[in-house]
Amino acid sequence: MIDPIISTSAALALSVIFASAASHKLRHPSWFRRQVQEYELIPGLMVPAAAVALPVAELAIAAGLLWSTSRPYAGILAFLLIGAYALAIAINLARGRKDIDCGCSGPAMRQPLQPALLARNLLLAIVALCALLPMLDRPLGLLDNFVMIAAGTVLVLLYTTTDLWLANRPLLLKLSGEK
Amino acid sequence: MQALIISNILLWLLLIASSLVLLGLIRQIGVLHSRIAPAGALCSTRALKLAKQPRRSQLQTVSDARSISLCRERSTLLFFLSPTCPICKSLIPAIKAISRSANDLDVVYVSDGDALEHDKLISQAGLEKSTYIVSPEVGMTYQIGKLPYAVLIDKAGTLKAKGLVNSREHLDSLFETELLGSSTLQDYIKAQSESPGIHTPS
Repeated sequence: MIDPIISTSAALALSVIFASAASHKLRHPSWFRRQVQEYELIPGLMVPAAAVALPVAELAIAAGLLWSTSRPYAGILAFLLIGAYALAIAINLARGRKDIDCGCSGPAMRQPLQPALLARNLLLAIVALCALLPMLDRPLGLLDNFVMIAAGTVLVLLYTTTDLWLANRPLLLKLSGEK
Repeated sequence: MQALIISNILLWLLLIASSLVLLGLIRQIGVLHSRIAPAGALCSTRALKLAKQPRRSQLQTVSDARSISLCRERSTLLFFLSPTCPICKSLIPAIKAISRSANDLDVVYVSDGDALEHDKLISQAGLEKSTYIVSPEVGMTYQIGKLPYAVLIDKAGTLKAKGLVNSREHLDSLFETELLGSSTLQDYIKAQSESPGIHTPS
């Protein structure tokens, strides 16, 4: 049992993160199809279906996290999806294919696969865990609602910052010649 | 109680503001990275014309007096340096990184001057296993007026790119010319200004 403030702010942040991830995938379908193909985990015939199913699932999760009745189920799905992405990255890192694009943040921001992405997904999984755990039942005041929204906003901002930071890291390593 | 609530709200607002500042800073770093990405090698116009076959010079290395030829199955990067030039020394790690990451590239260090100084530089920079040439003739062939200078020669022995290199980006820009299809930065800018639809890096 966790406090509703933690659960709701985690769910809000996760919802925004999934919605933005789904939006850049849906806006650039051909780019994402090639991305799925480059990971070389799904048989060729199923690639177009997976490239449509993944963003749709992300969108459904983002919507499901917003309502308290559907939140536990959406939270479990989010947890599984984050785990699946981490697994896909880990398999390709183990294959030594560090040069393929992560496909994490749209075509505008390319970044190669790197172990730090696994750490990022672990943190996202913890946030998802916070969202799916059962809540304490207590009356919520105005301040509680404010804190929920504020904490959710900070989480989203920090996630975006971390993502950009991770994307900049390989560029810096390349500059200093420590590839 | 009132004071606590107000301070709590204020702290949240300030936390959001500082996260925004952090995000802005990281974004700026990303923009900086994209701005310093190479566009093409800068080279002085009076020098040797590019895409011409250079003379097939036979070169003598310092370490084992073995002769190497510039025309063979692999591309060659000639890096002109001098033991008395600090920037040259600071670029050696970047050159090593490039030679490690590119499979079909031979790196040749070219220098001239006193032999003792070269031995010191070779042991300091760990260049024992690299090809290190002491030959003023090579420098004259490629009309090298400034140091550090780099010349990229492709598999067919054609001069692909050359330029004064002061940083890792300048080095990368030599290789970038193959991708962009313009041999110098001047050519690149000329091509850009002739086709107004394309964004020119400013």
